[in-house]
Amino acid sequence: MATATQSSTSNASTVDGNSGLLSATVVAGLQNLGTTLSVAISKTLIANSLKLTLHPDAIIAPVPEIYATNAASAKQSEYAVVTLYAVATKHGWDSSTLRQQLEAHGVHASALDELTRVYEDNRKELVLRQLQLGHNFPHITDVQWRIVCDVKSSTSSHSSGAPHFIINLGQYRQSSGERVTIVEFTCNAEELQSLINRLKDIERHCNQVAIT
Amino acid sequence: MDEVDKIIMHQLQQIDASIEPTDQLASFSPEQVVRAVSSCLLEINPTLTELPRTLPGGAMAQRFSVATVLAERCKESGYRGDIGYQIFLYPNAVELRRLLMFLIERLPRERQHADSAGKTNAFNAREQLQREVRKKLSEQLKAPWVPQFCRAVANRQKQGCSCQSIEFKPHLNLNIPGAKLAERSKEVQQYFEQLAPNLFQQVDASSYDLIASVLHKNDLERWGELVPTAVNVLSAREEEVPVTPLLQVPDKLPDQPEAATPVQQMGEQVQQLRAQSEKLLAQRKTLNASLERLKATEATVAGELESIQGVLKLHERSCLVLADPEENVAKLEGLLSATQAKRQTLTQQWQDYRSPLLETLQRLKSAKETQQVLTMHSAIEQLEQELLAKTQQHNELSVRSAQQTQQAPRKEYTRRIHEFIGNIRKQRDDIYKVLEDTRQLQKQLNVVAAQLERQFNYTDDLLFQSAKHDLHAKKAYKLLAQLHAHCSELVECVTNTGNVSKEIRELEVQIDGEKMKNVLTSLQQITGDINKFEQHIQELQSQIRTVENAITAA
Repeated sequence: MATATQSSTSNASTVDGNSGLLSATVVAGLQNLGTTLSVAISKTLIANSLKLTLHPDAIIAPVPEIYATNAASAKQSEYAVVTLYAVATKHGWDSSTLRQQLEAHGVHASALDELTRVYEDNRKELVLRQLQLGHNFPHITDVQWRIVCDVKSSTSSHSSGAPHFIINLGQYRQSSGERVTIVEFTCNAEELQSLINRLKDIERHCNQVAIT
Repeated sequence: MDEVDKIIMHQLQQIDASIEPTDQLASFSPEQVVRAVSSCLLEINPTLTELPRTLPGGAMAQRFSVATVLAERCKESGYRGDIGYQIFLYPNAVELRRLLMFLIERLPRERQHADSAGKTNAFNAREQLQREVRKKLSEQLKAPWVPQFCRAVANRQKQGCSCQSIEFKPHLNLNIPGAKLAERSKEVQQYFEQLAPNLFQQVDASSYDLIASVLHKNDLERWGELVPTAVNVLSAREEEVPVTPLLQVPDKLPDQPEAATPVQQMGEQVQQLRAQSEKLLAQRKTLNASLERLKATEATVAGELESIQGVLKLHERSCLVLADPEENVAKLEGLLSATQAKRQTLTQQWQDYRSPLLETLQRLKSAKETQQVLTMHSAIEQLEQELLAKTQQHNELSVRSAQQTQQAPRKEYTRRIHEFIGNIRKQRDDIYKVLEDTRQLQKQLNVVAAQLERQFNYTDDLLFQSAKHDLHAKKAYKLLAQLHAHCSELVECVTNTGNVSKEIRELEVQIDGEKMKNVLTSLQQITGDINKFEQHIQELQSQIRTVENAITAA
């Protein structure tokens, strides 16, 4: 018993600390669930929002019945649900904290149960999704090149005949598979040679580190 | 064999500190044997996974399977001797020694180098990191190349597929209906009901991240009152994509012309106010410049004024002096003499004070020297004490170092190994000598046997020829034949005895070997284990019976 009371008091204190984490729009959107929007629609809305949050690249069929009756509130509530889960994941709330938080904002009981249940079921996926988020240097996974040469034409009276290389380093986007250029540069044979040598140096260094 | 055991213990300690050292291999428990052998195998081949590290306590079947697995691993790593579960469950010193020596010889050289450099098992964090990096790199160098799209599949994920990460790129101007329903005008409400794209469409259309956008908007709304509006405007302006159609809709809708005029009016007003503010700003700039100029001139004028005042004071004083020259000169002379007298009295006083002080200084100086001597004495005493302490420490340390050299057995071992080698050489020479002797003896024997043979043949012929005529000779011939047969029997007996004694010696050696394996104790262990097995089987049978009974009853 003693431990239970302790945990409840600690949770209460965290709720006090967290009470300002949701904006007024989010709170209004959450309060719509189960009141302005019917319970069934609230359920589909929560499920749909979660699906779209977890799989940003997947093609998910739209659910038009959510917007059939009260579209503005539905849009607000969608935003509210996504924000709630994002904030909860960011601050590492457990489901009881989430429940207390929602209770403090006076969310309708059925919506509260549904929100807590969905959060508890998908907490791991939400954390994994948010772990991917951040800033990083681009990864180069593809190289394209062209060999170019200036020739005699109507605009220039003579040709140097020296070949140049246009190198294009890029990557494929994970979601759509389209190619993105990260850097494109031109160089002559010597510069290209030195670049290749530097790359070989990397390989040699790796070998050295791995062997010794 | 004690030295060998010590070396093995030393090496095992370095591989795995959890192995408790015992004096002899014979006193190793099966658990320790399993621990030691598995540690060695892991050290030889770190990629071995699923290698059992401990011997389970209870069930015999599990113990048996663990021991069998370890025996197979040992065979795989090239051990040629006889090995099976028995070496782990019923260890005997001789075979265990052979196995451990083999394993220790197979240990990677790098480790031994590290040991010889005096490094113990404790790698610091940096070295451990480097080791790990090395391991990862060598793994990755061996791994085949995989195209980008396959990298997210299965176990390739852990090999650094960080190109999967999502850039934190929020949509800065999400268009969501606000909290206060009353503030929304009818048109705006209608827009939200019908035209406005939902959150996911907004984010998806401009390839922003959903969570980033949502977090951004949430925080912006929470701190909206505290953040100055200019920042909001700036952030909104930085956005590249066309602003969501919220602001444009009222202008575009043709059935609401009255909404257009106030906006235009406001726009004009804004233009006017902007022009005015620009003008005022320019004015302010020019005025500021003139103010600064005036300040500079004021500063220069004040400086000049001060210098002029100084000059003026000097002039006034000289004028006063020059007004009545004779009287003033007399006054000045009087003043001069008075000052001189005063100075003389002062010097007198100075001397009076100075002489006693000088004397005290001299006295103190002499006192100081004596003090110095005293301090020197005390310092010398201190140093002597320190010296004593240091020599004591030195003695202790030298004793300890002697102990440590005893503990560090490398030199000792090499010396002993050299001795052994010398002994073995001597023994080999001895063996060669003995062999040479035996050979010579053999030769002599052969020579003598041949001589005897010839002699016998000759005598035989002689007696045989004479036996035809003479009766005595006949008897002599018979006796000779008898003698020959007996002699050959004797020789045979001698060789047989030699063979038998040789066999006896071999058997003795074998008996010694078997005694070393202390068969009795292991037999006892085995019978104990068999009893356990039987008990287990009986239990199982009784269980089966109960189950069968239950089934039949059902």
